[in-house]
Amino acid sequence: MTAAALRIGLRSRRVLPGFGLTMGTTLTYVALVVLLPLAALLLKSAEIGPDGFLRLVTGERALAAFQVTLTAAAFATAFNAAYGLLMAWVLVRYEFAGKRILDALMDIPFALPTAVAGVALTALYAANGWFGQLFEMAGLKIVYTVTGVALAMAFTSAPFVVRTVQPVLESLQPDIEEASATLGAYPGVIFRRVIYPVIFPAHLTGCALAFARSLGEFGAVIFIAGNLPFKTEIVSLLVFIRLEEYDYAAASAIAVVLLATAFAVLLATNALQALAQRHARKG
Amino acid sequence: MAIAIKGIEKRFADAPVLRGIDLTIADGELVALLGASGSGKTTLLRILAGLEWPQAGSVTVDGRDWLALEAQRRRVGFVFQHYALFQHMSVRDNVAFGLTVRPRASRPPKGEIRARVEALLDLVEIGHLANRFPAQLSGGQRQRVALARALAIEPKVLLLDEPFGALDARIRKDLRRWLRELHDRLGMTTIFVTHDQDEAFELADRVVIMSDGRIEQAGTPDEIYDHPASPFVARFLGGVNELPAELAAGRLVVPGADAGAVTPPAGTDGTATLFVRPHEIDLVADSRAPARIRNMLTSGPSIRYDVDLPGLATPVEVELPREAARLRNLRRGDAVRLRLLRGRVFSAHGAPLPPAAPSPERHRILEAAL
Ligand SMILES: Nc1ncnc2c1ncn2[C@@H]1O[C@H](COP(=O)(O)OP(=O)(O)OP(=O)(O)O)[C@@H](O)[C@H]1O
Ligand SMILES: [Mg+2]
Repeated sequence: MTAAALRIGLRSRRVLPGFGLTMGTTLTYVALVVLLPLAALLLKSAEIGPDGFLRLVTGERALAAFQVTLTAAAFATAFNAAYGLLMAWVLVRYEFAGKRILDALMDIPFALPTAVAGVALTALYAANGWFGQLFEMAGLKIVYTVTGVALAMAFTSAPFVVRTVQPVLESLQPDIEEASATLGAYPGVIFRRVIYPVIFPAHLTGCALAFARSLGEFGAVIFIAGNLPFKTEIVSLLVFIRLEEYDYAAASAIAVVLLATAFAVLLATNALQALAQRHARKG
Repeated sequence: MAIAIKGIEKRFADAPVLRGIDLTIADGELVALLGASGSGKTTLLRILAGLEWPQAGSVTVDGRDWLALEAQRRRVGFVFQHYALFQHMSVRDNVAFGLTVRPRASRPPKGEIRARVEALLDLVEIGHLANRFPAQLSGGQRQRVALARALAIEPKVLLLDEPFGALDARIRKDLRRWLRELHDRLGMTTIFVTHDQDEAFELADRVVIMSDGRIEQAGTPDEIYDHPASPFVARFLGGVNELPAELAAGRLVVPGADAGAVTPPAGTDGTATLFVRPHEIDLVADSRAPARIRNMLTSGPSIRYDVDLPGLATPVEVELPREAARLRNLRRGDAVRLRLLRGRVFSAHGAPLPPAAPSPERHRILEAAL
């Protein structure tokens, strides 16, 4: 954008002054904190050359790690998509004893050090843990399996969905639901046609953030995963292992792919949202 | 459809909001609910729509118990105060909603829905806006979309909650007339809530005045204007003087005024209040009279006088037609006698006394006045 265009944008749209200052600060921040490390990472992996890069990221162990991570993240996100929506609904729509406490509990996964979460989950779901025993009886092993990985990911990323959907649900005017009812729509239809379309963009954002977070989750996962190469080893752990081995090339190559995946997910989400909101806002 | 409302009581967490509402509405009638804020108008409307249920009472529509029906099955067109449009749907989809949500068995085919929506949009004169979204419409246009959406289900009863509340005065007037025509054309039973007295009186067949969860009076605009049933109604209509009066031996005595033209109500003697409108008073110059003209104001076709009456804190407002005022030739500070041509008397306890009727003397005085 040229300076002239910026100035026109400023004149014609902004009510509050300070565009130049705030934009400048933000860009500087983005450059220093976000772009610079990313550039270093990309540079590092670029040193390897395309062939080497491809060889490193398509190695058997790397591929297996990608598969484990993506599968577990997908399951965790699917679970949170449903659970987070339900939780947000309950927190917004109903009054009950302990609602404030439940609301506060929602942030625990964010506030808790992930390692603590990992240890706690492992203790609970181990074959002799409180929950683990029950699952064991049902013939289900959780600890040291992909299920366990997904569980840990789901735990740490749940607040993303709840906290993005909640404010949008809160802002919904009850009268649009009442209007729907007088027009003959029953609750299921009202949810599908009136409520969900409005919260969909927020829900999608929440899910995308949860997925991206799951891809990179480390602390909570490694305790419960058992970290068996080819079975329950996640990508970020593999990166860590390669670093430990001073194999910076492999570490950065794998990290770049992980980064690109997360980035692609967020980008796709934004595109979907733009599509969904194309009408609602402007014409 | 004829609606019979009996003994409706509604409390929100023990706070009574409706305290026994009885009202019958004939098929095809256009009724206005008029009342101060918080008097329960919206609550009554919501009960009729099936969005709220009363603790006591019944609602019968064409002989059917309506309280047993859920909102979805009442087929009531409800227009919300803030329109409640679906922001994520185009105008066309908003209007089609009531048809497209029907179960497949009773849903009209796509083409028919489309045609009906077009017809409705033309009816409310916004056919050219069909593809817009609510955020892109003016207040008046949104109002029309809300109305078209409510009409799409072919309601037999149309309920409107302050339909013109958010619009400016000129548009309100246009929409008023238009709504009346629409009502007559479609032959529905319509109930609308309003704060605006002019709107209620101009538009409605019958006006229901509510206060504090009760119906103070229900009647045609003329009935209410000429025979307010209570001091509350008389005050609510506004622009009225309240004069202390005495009922003695069948005669009405208003200190400082000549009330001979007001037929005194039959009933108990004692103190009472006379409600009299500014144009129902005539002024006669009389140097011995205790009343004094404090102020006079020209307002186009008539002259307004503020007259101080001993013992009254606020001046009495009197309005004379310009021609009559010229003949009187009164000035500020002149001593005058008030001649009351007409008025409504209520006993001191607010219990309504039979309304005063015009007497032959009133006509004489009116003629003399001109
Ligand atoms: N859901 C509710 N819970 C508790 N109190 C309520 C509720 N809805 C309405 N009330 C109370 O009921 C009373 C009547 O409300 P209502 O909305 O029927 O008044 P109204 O005549 O429509 O007023 P307005 O002209 O301001 O719209 C008010 O005192 C209001 O506070
Ligand atoms: Mg109201």
